[in-house]
Amino acid sequence: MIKKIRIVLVIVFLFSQGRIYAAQDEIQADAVASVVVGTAFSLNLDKTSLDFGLLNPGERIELYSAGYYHQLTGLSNNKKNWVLKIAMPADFAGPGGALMSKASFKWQLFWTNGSGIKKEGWEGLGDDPQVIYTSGPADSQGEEIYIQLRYALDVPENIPSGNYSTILVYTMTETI
Amino acid sequence: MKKVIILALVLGLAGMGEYIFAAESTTQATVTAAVGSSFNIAFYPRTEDANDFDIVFPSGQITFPAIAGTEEIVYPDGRGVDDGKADIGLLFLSNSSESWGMKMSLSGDIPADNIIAYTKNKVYDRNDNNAELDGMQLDEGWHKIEDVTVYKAVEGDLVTLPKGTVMLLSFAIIPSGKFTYQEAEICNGDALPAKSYTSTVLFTMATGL
Repeated sequence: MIKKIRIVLVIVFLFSQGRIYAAQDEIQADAVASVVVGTAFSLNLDKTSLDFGLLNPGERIELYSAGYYHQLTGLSNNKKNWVLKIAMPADFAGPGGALMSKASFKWQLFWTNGSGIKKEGWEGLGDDPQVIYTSGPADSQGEEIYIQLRYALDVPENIPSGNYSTILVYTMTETI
Repeated sequence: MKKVIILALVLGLAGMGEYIFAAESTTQATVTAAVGSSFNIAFYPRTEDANDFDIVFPSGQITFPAIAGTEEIVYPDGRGVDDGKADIGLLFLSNSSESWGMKMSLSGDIPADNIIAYTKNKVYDRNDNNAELDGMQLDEGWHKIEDVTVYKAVEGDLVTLPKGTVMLLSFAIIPSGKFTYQEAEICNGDALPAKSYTSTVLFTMATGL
């Protein structure tokens, strides 16, 4: 009578071990490997200054010593079209409240590796941002798109001497 | 049931947000330029200018006829009384924001009591169809050539580029050394001895006058 009881206890123990192994097999079968790819959407400028140097009234100067002056790098992997715009929010501020109109400033898209639509020739600036480049279908697949710009300044003939400065803003916007 | 409905609304707004707000990235550059100073005086008209004011001696070299000694006033060659012309024109070109003006002085053989200059009371803005500008420090008429400020550019006309501002001047010899103009004694010197004379009238354009 005593022996029988002991055997039953052993059987129960082994049975429990078997359940543990079965549970481990189920976890391995349900495991799923996943990767989340983040959104990349950025615009970078190779240098943040644009210095025309010393000019005489009435003089025109064009800046593109290396073929271009600025290189913008746009990056998008959103598979959506985007546009790059340029704007000058205010006229050039000079000495004693003197102003040089933003109309004196000109820009030109020199080269891009993008497949989209680029503006041709010298362009001016108005009150609204001007489109430099509209992306093509291949431009939002995660590859860097380079956009090289030239600049020119037509100094008015009747402008007071002194130092003038302003800000140029580039905006890359995804189209909806 | 209520909990389910509220959750559904929140999810809906979050989903719409993805489509309403497009991605945007901005960068900027500082643009600078230095405009050089232009500040000079020249005889008008230069080769590129039209002679709008009938200037007789555009080169600035004025010659007078031989003087008998009995004349009260002697005009240069080619000039007559009230002929509407001017001996010289001075062209002021500046893009200085500072106040500036012009002084006139005499040096050479001719004594100060034996030569006079005629100034108008206006100068002319060539950038505005020769519109008249104030700023003359001398009244219109004949004056002894003394070391005085003749003109001060007025606020708003400091920058004269690109075409410049013109001042008209004429000169005369007073052989006797005595001259009265509009009841004011201008010259009270000695008569000129007989000989050949050469003098220089120096025009100085400067800031801070």
